[in-house]
Amino acid sequence: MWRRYLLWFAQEHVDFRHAEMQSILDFLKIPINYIEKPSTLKPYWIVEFPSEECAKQIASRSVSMRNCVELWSRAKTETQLHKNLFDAMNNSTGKWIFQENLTNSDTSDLHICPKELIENCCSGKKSFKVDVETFCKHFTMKEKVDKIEKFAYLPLEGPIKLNKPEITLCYIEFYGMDPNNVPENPCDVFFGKWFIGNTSMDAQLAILMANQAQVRNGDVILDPFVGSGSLFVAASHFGAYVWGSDIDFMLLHGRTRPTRVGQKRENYSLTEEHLVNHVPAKVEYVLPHIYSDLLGFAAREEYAHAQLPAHPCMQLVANSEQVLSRSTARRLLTNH
Amino acid sequence: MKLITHNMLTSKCLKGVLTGYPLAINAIDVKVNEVDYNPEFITRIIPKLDWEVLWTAADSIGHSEGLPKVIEPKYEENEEFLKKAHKVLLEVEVEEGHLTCPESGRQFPISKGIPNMLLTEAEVQ
Repeated sequence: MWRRYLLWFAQEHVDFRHAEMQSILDFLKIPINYIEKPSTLKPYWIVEFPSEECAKQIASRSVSMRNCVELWSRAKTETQLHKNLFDAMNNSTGKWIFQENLTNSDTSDLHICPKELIENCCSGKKSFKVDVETFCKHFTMKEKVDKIEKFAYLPLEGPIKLNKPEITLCYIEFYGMDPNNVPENPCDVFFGKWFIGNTSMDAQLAILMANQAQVRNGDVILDPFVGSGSLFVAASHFGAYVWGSDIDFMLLHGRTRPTRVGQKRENYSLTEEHLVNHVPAKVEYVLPHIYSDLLGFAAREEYAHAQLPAHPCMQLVANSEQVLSRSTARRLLTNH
Repeated sequence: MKLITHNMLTSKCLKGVLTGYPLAINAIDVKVNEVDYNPEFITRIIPKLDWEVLWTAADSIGHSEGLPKVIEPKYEENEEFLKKAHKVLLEVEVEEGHLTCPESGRQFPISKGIPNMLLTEAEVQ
């Protein structure tokens, strides 16, 4: 039976999220069924995978993904969530009762899971705890405990154990993405079994890039502008053989820091050993020419898809923007 | 510089040079560093190499012993061969010396294991 999961993502480098996940799904050959169209405007996806093992494999690679919850109930309001969960205990159809009626918002909120999901966890007196997570709104411990008490109807027989319980259940309230405009009530609520988390405390671009390149054991990675080699650390972690070159001779020999790190201008000067064969370039660059280049540069369009470098043998599979400052950014283009 | 790297380097960017391959190795200091053996990687990289160039390069720095001049069929099943190829490709390192362009004679210094392939503007096509 396919299982339904709530995948929660780190809300940084959001433009890389979809590309990274697609790459991982593709090379692990894991099929996915989107229950809701993925969006960068929300930090979560609702998806289905054929097995729990699939979700674990993805979580072992992804850096965008923060945690993964086996979904038991989902609704737009707290009341409906409880109703869905309560009804789920009598759902012996073996599948989700799911009604999507976009014309009538009252009936579109039906997400009733099969009762087996709940029964598997409740039987056998397994120790448990319930976590409450709220996104974009803060609650006191007392308020959180009150929220947990509302789940008293669940037939959990085991003892409550706050430290390393056998089962962690998770109640999540999502209050949108705008901290300056937090609504009174959550716009989305979830309940389920929490099972993978914190695989990525700090989403690192190098690992994202390694994932988008689908780096595997024994692969060869070439970085023609290797710099200090941060991409290689991630690539070799996944078993790749790495190969790099750089114009900065001093950096390759570990005698200087990367030029990006506030280096003083004197380090750009040529060393004696390079001067032997050096002939400075003499290219005519007269004032009118400089002037027209500057005007041309200023008049250039900010960014257009057509400007991207392309190769007839390569197909662009992803284009992810990393914002560097208010006016600059760089893009990771994944081709294959 | 590993011999796998040498197998991929050329000086064809030089003005007046057509192929610039293979570069001759003049080694002053050669080391052997142990590297984890990964037979899948070696099997996969072999078809991408110019084997004759690898053999000649290994021979020029005194590491061709036991290395066949031509790749035999079904090499992927020959453990002894793969281990030998692994050693020559990944473990043998030219630490100091230089590479020489076969057409122009331009030398590229190798220092601390890194070949310096940088050219001046005047040398580029």
